[in-house]
Amino acid sequence: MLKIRDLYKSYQVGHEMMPILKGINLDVEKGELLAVTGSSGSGKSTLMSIMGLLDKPTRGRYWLDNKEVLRCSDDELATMRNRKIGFVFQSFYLLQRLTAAENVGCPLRYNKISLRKIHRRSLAMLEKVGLADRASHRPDELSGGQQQRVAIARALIGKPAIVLADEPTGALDSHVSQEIMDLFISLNQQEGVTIIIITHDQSIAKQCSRVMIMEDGVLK
Amino acid sequence: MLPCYDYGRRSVEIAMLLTYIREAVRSLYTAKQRTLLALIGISIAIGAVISLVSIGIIWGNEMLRKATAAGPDILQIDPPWNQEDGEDITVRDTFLLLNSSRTLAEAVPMISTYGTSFFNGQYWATYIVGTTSSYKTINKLRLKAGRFISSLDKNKYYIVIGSEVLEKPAFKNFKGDLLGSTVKINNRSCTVVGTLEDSTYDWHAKYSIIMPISTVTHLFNEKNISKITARMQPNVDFRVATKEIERYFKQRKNIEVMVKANEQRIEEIKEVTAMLTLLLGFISSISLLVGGVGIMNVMLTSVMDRRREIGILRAIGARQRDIRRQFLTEAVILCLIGGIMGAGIGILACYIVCSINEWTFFIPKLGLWLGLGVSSLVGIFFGFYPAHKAAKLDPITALRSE
Repeated sequence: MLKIRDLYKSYQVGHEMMPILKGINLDVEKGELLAVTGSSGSGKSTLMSIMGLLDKPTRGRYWLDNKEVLRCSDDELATMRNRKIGFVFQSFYLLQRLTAAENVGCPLRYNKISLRKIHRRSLAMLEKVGLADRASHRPDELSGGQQQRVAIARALIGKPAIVLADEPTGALDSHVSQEIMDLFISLNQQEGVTIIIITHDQSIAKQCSRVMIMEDGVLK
Repeated sequence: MLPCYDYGRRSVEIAMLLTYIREAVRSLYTAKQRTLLALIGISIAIGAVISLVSIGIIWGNEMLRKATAAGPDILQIDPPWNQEDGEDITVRDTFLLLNSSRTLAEAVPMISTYGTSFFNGQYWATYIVGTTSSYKTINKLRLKAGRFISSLDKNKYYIVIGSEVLEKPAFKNFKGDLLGSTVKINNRSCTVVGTLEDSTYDWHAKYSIIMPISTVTHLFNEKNISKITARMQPNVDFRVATKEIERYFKQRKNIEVMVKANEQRIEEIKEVTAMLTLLLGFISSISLLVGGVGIMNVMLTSVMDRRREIGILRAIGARQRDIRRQFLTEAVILCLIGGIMGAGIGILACYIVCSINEWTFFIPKLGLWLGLGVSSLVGIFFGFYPAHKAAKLDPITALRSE
């Protein structure tokens, strides 16, 4: 499903190159629920950006769904993000102008699907995350937990190969965090969605089937 | 709530465009103040283009109407300004010219001079026109009262008063019947036989007192013709007639007359109008540049403010061209709204100018299409750089920006 070999990433700071990732190797199987933990600054977010095709590594190889992705053009990367990857972010990143249903349907816009179908699928997806009655609310009318559920629905609507969640519970209190985590677990177990959660919260990491620790740019 | 349009697979592209338009309208509405400021700039600019081009076209039409009303088959023959070598043109020459010509149907001599008038207790200086009865028909004059001078009035002190002369206080304050009254011209008593209506484009007839040409000749001791107005035979090319008249006066009297054909004037007017309209369009497009820069500024600010949104859209799969298209749509819609407002402003300005000048108002299609076409072009041109900038944003930087 996802295979990473000898991945390096450095950023230029002044005249020096500062290494962030120092040789990452990772295999994720279909249907896994993987947690990547580590202290802040260890490179978790950089790895997430690269796995999410938002950033490119300095060197290394990366296969997603049996496709070598690092040689793809910008357009191909965008299409892969659209079809293969679902993102869940710490601060939700919903579009404030749009309703919950429109936010959920957003990825399908780039998919040549009629508006009517998009709407139907958005509603179905909202129902799955338990927000059917909030479809026409705007993000600022929803609680943090509800917003994150909308974001999860948006991540899932394109039936992605993998869901990447970057600190999905970081902005939520522990009770709501657990609800979101329960949603991830049930999606993983009942629908077989492959999920990678990046978190520094040990109580979240513990609930995942596999935990990897990022330490000084290397995954252990 | 998403409205549910039902589009077939083929019209998905249209649905996409509609989505962009809806999004654009919504985001423009969200940033009301900024949108309004940009709209003011662009609508004034487009209003300027539409009004100036329209005024140019309407003005040209007005000139053309005047020239055609005077008759396209009319020629004006003017003796040269300073006459040194040749002889003068007399009334007799006019008739000789008409008799020998194969192109002219009519030729009317006219002597223009000025004298002192006295009427109703007031003296004033007046233009005097001495001419024949045909002057009325060839210049399409219309009478307000009485009659025009006739061929039977030779050497008689009969006068016809032009429409603008009637506006003088001496006549305005006169109670009673003007016809049959006596006006003193250079101390000779003249009888008013007619008055003219303000219906002509002939300047002389408007501002002068008209007398029989024979009377003017001996009253003012003026034999020289100031102008001959001639009408061509049907289907005669004005160039042929012009050549013939010029040759006639060169051979007979060794003078070079100036012949102006109305038809030629009409052509000149058309050329001048086209030039003027082009010039006005060009000048007003400078304001478009200013309006366009305003659009660019607003769009750039909008792109900077919405970097996060661009990052999110890129993360969920928008390609660079999707982002570019979205921002371009926004710029074009902004310009089109500005264009429609500008059309309103332009038409209103044009209407005001027309009513001040008493021109016939109409909305020239060219002006309107030009304004709307140009406004979308401005949107595309000045919206492209901001849209391109938005599309080229690094997704991860955009996403992490605040």
